[in-house]
Amino acid sequence: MIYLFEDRKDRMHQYLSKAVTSVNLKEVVFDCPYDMDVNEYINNAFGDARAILYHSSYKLANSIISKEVVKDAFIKRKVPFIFFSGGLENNYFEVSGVTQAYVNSGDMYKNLGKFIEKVDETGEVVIPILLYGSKYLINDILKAQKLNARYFSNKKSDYPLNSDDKYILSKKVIEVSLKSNLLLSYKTEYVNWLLDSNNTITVADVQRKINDILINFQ
Amino acid sequence: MKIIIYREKIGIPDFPESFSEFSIDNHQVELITISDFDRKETIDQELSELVSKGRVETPDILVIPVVLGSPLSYYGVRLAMHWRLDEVADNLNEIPIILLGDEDEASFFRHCDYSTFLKTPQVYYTQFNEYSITELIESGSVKHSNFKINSTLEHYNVKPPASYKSYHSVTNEWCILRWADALKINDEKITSIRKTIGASLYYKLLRCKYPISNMDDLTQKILLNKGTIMLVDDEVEKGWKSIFSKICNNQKLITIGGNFNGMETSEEIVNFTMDKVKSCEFSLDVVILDLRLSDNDFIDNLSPTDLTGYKILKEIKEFNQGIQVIVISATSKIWNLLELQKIGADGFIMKESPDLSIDPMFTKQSISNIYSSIDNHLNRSFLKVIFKGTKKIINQKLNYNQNCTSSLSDLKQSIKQNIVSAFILGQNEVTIDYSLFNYIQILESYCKFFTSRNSDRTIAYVYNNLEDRKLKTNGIVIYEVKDNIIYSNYKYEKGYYKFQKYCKSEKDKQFKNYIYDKAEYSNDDRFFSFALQLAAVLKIHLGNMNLMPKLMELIFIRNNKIAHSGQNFDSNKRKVNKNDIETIFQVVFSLIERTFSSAPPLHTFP
Repeated sequence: MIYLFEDRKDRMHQYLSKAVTSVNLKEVVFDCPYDMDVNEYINNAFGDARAILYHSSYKLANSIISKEVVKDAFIKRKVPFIFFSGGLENNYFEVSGVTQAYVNSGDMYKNLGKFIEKVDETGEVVIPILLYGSKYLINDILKAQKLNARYFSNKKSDYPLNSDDKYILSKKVIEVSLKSNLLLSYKTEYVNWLLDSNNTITVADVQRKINDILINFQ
Repeated sequence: MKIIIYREKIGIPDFPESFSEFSIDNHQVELITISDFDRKETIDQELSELVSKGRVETPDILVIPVVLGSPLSYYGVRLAMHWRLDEVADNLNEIPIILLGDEDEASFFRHCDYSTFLKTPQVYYTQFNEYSITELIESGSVKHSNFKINSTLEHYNVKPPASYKSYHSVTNEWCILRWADALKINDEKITSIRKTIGASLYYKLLRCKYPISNMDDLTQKILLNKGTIMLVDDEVEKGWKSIFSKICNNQKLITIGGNFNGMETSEEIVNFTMDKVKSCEFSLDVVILDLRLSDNDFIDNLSPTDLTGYKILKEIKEFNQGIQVIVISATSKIWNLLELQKIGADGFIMKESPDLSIDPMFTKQSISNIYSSIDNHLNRSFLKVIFKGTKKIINQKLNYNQNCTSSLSDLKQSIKQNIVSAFILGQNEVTIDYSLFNYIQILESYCKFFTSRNSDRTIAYVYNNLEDRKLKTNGIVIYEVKDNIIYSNYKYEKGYYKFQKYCKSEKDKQFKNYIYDKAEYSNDDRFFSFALQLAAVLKIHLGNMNLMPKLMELIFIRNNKIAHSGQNFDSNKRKVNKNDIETIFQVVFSLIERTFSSAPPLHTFP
């Protein structure tokens, strides 16, 4: 279940009624009793949480608890946690495999329908959809390109890759960046090409290959 | 030349850190390392700090990767725009910026929302690679040039927040910063807002597009009229208190609204505000009322009648129409303003949205208008006392209908009609003359009712009370000419009033004995002077004639300016003002209160 903590109900209903009627999204209230441990409350009330969408200025009824405490409690349970607000720019990162994000509320609500559609259809919780909508896969490919560029920043374009380079590229660039199943065929083809011992591959070739994926994908 | 390169710590084991060994002949290279950028919550503040960090190094060339953190956000380009706009704000020379891309240029233009920044002067694009940087710099094409930033700002594709409430916040915040700059406010609150909101790239762009002109004279302004002002705004603590504390600096300012966010419903906010208004009704002169006070007020296409500010305005005006309410809002929708005007909004202050700042004079005009608007409404706050008194007269004094004679009934009816009109007309400077006209009509009816036929020895009969009048028995002789009581009580020489100076013709200026002539020689009702009736009524019913000269002046104005087209009256020398209305209302109110006994209201004053 994706849980939405939103105190601006009017905004929420405006978007939800238009875009989302999924059984996988529930708008809820965080009402932890004063005498109950937050972790216990979360376990009881939101034990099936797969992601939390939390309005940055959401007012907690229990004034002892802060939003950071709520976040930490969900993160501890490996539940992705997303703060959204009108004043935020988009950003996301992973710590120990758990995604955390800051999303502009305009973008979040704009992309919420697509995000939930993905959950409904595939069961996957893909947080970058909330930030970038359908462009989230392009972001993944650009990430691969970024890591490539960083790795070869002190090499000339005709530098030939050695086996260590190839290993690092396949494991630490491609595996890290192209995670989505939708990019699987591109990833497989890329890795096969990279690790094919018959090929002499230069930095320029690597950049070109990623660029081809980017163009083909679009 | 000194080259500053921003680099992001990748944090992947076995991954080289970019530019660690990078150097270019004859150039000094300094690195600024950015860690965990993708974990930052307040992006623009982080980027602003990175600019400050870089400035310490006083670079000649900047090198910035287009991607910092998540690629599609292109926060590196955003950092470059921060640099440029901060330079403009601080009047520094524009440093050449090299953007380091991971993609080819075509791909960059396809994916990056800010890519048009590349079209601005002294911005270069090359690959994220040491050899590419060296080649570009050694080519000599990276150099300073003089250009006017204004013509390039169209290439800064920085958008305001998307959501409706956020857009309103933009106007709110922009307006606070703008007006705080114009008024040179530097208190703790505004300084903190400048640090947070002022760090936003969108605001930096706006400030660069619409630079504020010199407004030193604004800081010298003060309110000329005295009174108590109440500011009702849910964002009172987010800068509005500072703005209005400065504007109302020499007057008492009450602020409420800081706790509205904790209130569940619009009704709670309305009730809280009305409690405050009622608790200081008589000291309160002007309310400055924000239109949108709760989250529910930010629903798209909401009817103006559903806005919390509208509901408060309605309640204030039902409670006391005389309390002056100035609505402050970001709205420019004319139908919203018309709805507010319908229920009695006395004035409007429009918050300065970025669109309005296109006009370089707008800020100055807006703030000057706020001063004059508050001053005007402080000047009209006397209406609250008149409203209260009028309401009491209508509801408690004139509705009582205990076997009164038909002439008494007629009197009450006449007073009722005239007093409501007088209040309404008194609210507007254009019609204030007619307000005076109505009040004098009341006095005339009243005096006529309470004075009887005259004889050659008696100038006025005044009945002591209604019972005497009804019985028509012992009419009481109050003043005789021989006793000279009336004249001896005037402060001026008999019959001559100094206000005749308002006449245009010399002949009229010399005219004397106005009262005296008519009183001395008249012996029937037709010539029995209203002035003498009034003097008698004042003496008997109110106990003194102190206000007689003032009232005669007002009657003179009525007769010469209002009732007879004013051809012989110099209107520039004498305008009807709030003191006139306050005085005559006080006389009317005192007479009615003294004469008509209290009774429960039969119906409510509209």
